[in-house]
Amino acid sequence: MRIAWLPRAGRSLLVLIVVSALTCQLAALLPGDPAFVILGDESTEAQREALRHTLGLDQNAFVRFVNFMGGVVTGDWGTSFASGRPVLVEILSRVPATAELVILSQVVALAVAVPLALHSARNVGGKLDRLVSTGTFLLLAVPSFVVGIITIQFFAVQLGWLPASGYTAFVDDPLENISHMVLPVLTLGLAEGAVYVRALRGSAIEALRSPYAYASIVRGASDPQLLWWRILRPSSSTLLALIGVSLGVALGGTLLVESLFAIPGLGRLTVSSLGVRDLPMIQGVVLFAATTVVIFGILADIAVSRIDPRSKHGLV
Amino acid sequence: MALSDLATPGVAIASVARNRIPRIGVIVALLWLALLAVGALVAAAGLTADPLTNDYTVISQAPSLAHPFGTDNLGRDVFSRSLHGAGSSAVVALVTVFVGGGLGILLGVWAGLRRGIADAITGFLTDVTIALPSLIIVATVVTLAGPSLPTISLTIAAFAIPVFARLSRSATLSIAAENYVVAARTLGASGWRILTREVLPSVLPVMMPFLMTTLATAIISEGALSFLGFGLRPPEPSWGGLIAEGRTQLALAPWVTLLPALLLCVTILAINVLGEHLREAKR
Amino acid sequence: MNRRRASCALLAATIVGMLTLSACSSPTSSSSPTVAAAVSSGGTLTVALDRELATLDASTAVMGQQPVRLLANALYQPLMAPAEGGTFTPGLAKSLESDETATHWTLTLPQKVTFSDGSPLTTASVKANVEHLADPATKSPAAAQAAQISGMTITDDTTMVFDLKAPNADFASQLARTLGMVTSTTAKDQFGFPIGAGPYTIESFTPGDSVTVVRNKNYWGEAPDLDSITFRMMPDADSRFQSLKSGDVDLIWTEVASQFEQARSDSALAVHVAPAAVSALQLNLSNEKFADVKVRTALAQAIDRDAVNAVVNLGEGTTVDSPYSLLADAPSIDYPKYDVDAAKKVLEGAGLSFSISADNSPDSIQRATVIKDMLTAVGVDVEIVPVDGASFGTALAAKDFEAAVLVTSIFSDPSGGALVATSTGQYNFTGYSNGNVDQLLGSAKALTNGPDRTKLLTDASQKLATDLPMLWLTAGNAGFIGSAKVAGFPDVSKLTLVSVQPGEIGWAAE
Repeated sequence: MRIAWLPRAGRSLLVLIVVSALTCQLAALLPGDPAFVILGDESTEAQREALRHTLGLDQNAFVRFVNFMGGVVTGDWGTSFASGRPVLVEILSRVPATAELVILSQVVALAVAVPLALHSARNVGGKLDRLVSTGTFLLLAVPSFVVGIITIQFFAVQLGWLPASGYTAFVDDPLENISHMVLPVLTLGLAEGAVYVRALRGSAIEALRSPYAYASIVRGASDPQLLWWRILRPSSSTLLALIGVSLGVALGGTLLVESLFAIPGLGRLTVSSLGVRDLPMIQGVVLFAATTVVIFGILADIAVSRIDPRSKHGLV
Repeated sequence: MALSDLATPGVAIASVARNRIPRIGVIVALLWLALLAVGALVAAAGLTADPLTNDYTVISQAPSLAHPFGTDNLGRDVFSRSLHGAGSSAVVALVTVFVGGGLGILLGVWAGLRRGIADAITGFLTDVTIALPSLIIVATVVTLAGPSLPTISLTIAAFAIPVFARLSRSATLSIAAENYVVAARTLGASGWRILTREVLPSVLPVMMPFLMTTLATAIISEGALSFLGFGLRPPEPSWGGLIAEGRTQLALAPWVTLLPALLLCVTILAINVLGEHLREAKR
Repeated sequence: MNRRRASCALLAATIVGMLTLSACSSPTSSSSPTVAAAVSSGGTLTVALDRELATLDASTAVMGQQPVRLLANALYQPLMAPAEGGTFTPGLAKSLESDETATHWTLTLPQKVTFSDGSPLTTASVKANVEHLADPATKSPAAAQAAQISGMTITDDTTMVFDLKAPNADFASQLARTLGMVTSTTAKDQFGFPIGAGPYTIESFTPGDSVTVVRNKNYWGEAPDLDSITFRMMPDADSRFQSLKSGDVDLIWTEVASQFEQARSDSALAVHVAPAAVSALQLNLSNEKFADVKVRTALAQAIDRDAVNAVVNLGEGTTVDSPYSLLADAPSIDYPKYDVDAAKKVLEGAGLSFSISADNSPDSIQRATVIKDMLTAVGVDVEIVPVDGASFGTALAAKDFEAAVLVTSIFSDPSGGALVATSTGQYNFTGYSNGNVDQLLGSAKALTNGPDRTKLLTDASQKLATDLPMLWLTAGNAGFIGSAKVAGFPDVSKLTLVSVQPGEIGWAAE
């Protein structure tokens, strides 16, 4: 492993600090008074004034940023205006739903994409290949919110096969959990799968053209052997990089699906926090999301360098 | 979500599949986009029914000759609203490509040619933008500046800049090493001249397929934002907004949601077909 | 052979589109709803709320809001409860009596009321709770109401007297809201919320997602029918309705007119609504554009309230012409009649142009759009400014608007009028100030119900209809749509505030 760790970590840290500073500044500019939201419209101005002071809203954004960062270092991410509970506790309580959604849809995406891509690459122009190409073209053309609307109306409302919304934790009731996850996971996973098919198919075709794949064909390797052992590994670096990015930006990706299917994940927390001007929560969520992006970026790089040694030397 | 796709360069460059798009597909796609452009222009010129005028005598009517896409719950003509929505989507897409793509490419080329500090600054800005959760930022900006078309297009464009910067930087790096650039440098050509005569003409074609992908993702992003309530606000028509508005009556008046959705999907499909075609043509 | 692919794709897209289109347009059955049935004991009800609750603390603003009432009533049964036509009836309390001046109110509690931990709820608990709400550290919106109480005299465990700083004939309405939700000041439940005395207690709570309440074992009254109720928080109105239709939830809160319309034609669903959401166009009087009462009158004449009701409320709901329109003894006054010609005489060619701020919910925008159309027809240039929910209240309070559509439930009882019309009212966003109206409503505050009070309210309403600081629109329906199998649901249609005590409802006996 030749990745220069120290500069990379330092740079990531700096990125996170800049991101937090930006959010703090932006949040301070938001119109709408959090004190008004907390106290409701029957409150008096004096009451709101007092509350603004208690919440530290009368300090300037820079002071609030310094306080926030100071807190983050000690593990205290602040207290939510809306619930009065610690921000980090709230965020962590929303992670399971989002994580499950993301992981399952990645699994579905890969389970669909890898075999389809490898086999289409083996028989370029064949029946399967044409079908897959057409299919991915179509899937990529339908945005997730359209897929979501139609699947809810059709599978949940008309046919009544699956629940239209909601979430049950896996530990509470595994079956309920899965049945609630089917539609959101398909909505999210199939589009992702289409992207993966196209990426993997391309690199697999190139790998199949390499002398070394040719050698194994000559040596009489069977098709599955060839594809799964000889081709998948060298062609998966693009895929890994893609997955890294997908996981990192998952928060944005799941948001639509979370609101459509009423899943209590981080995305919905974000939107509701924006709606009630829960400034500490907004800052916390942004920092959390940015951290995930940075971490998954690094992990993807590590994975790629393991699989494809050339990348270490900047050859790819 | 779509916005995040903007940060997914791999999508565009990775598909090196050799799947020739048939000529007829390209022609159909071009025709469709041309037709849509004409429709949007005709609508913008005010030649179709006013998209904002309510007509309470024709509430939620199914598609007919008078109203090809039917009417919504205020009796507005969904066809006209869809065409106006096409206009909004086109503005967002073009601004993203020209502003986001333009600035991104310039930044990337600059970083690639100058290296050193320029490279470091660009790289850092790119990292920061990618780490920012785009939706929260866009939502905040939209809440702040108001849900106008310029605000939305420019914010979506801003998130496209780092992606273009990254891609064009690596394209520039490989081109800068080519003999003719080295030769031009040795011959004492000015930086500006090298940029406009040698580097840009080589970088731009490389970026073309990705520019097409960006057209599509920008349209989807705008739709997603409107759908979540952070896009163009009703009654201004936008595709995402139309689809979201009609959802309440999906069972009673499905055309209000599904026909604009169909328009959106076919347009994305057409753009993807053209993008794929360009990608192949490059090879 | 590849020739076909892309064209194939285009064609396939069209077909997929058409398939889903036909799949979704299957007709819905239409037959009559609701048959009154006996309530069986036991079972679980799943209710979808329209907002995400981060806390269940009774002292917070959100727990006092109309859509959350079912949950609040389950946990913190208020002392008073709304009754027909804007009146109030005892809830948890046994009685509430006022003296003639409406300054001294005697509250009687039933014997043996207990909190959910079994400890007694006495007048001392009521007093402690009021003091808790008045404390700024509690951050309760009811602090101002608590502050109007100058003294609380406890006679015995079940009788006490509230002495008010100033007469307030509408004190009962406040005891039906946050001020009347008595919680223990000593005991908290496992979630950290002060415990109440409602028929249910919290079993599980996932902030922002769901709450499950179960029978309160120590409930002092008649035990509720349902074993448990799960409240799910689903801000998206369409998701709620779809989940109801697919059977994921049994009861939803909604204010969307088209959903009432759809539900009424569906025999599996029952609608429980009242015209509880009053809308009015607020005119910012500090803006010169609205300085001339002739202009305001013409604007009122340009708005066809019946058409607003027909289009926005789909004919459900009613038109309103005063803050007291929903009440049983609604004043009958002269409000400018819809008269396009009269409006045109003043407005056409006058070059009046202004913006209407509206919160960005689809309904509000639709309402604003309809008004815009009507005003455009008489030559006024209107621009709609959608404002997000959190900024809207702040913008109104700061008078940062030209005209604004306010939708509210404050007119569910007589206290609402003073809030918008007196010069110091908390909802006086228009900047309206009329000494006469202040005086009329001030006197009304000191009169408990009766013809004299109605006369005062009528006079004030007439002044408002002449001065027109706000243009009245409609009262839209709000309430519940539920499975037709849910029984025991009270008739809410005469209520002005949809507040249901969940102890009464349950599943229909087979």
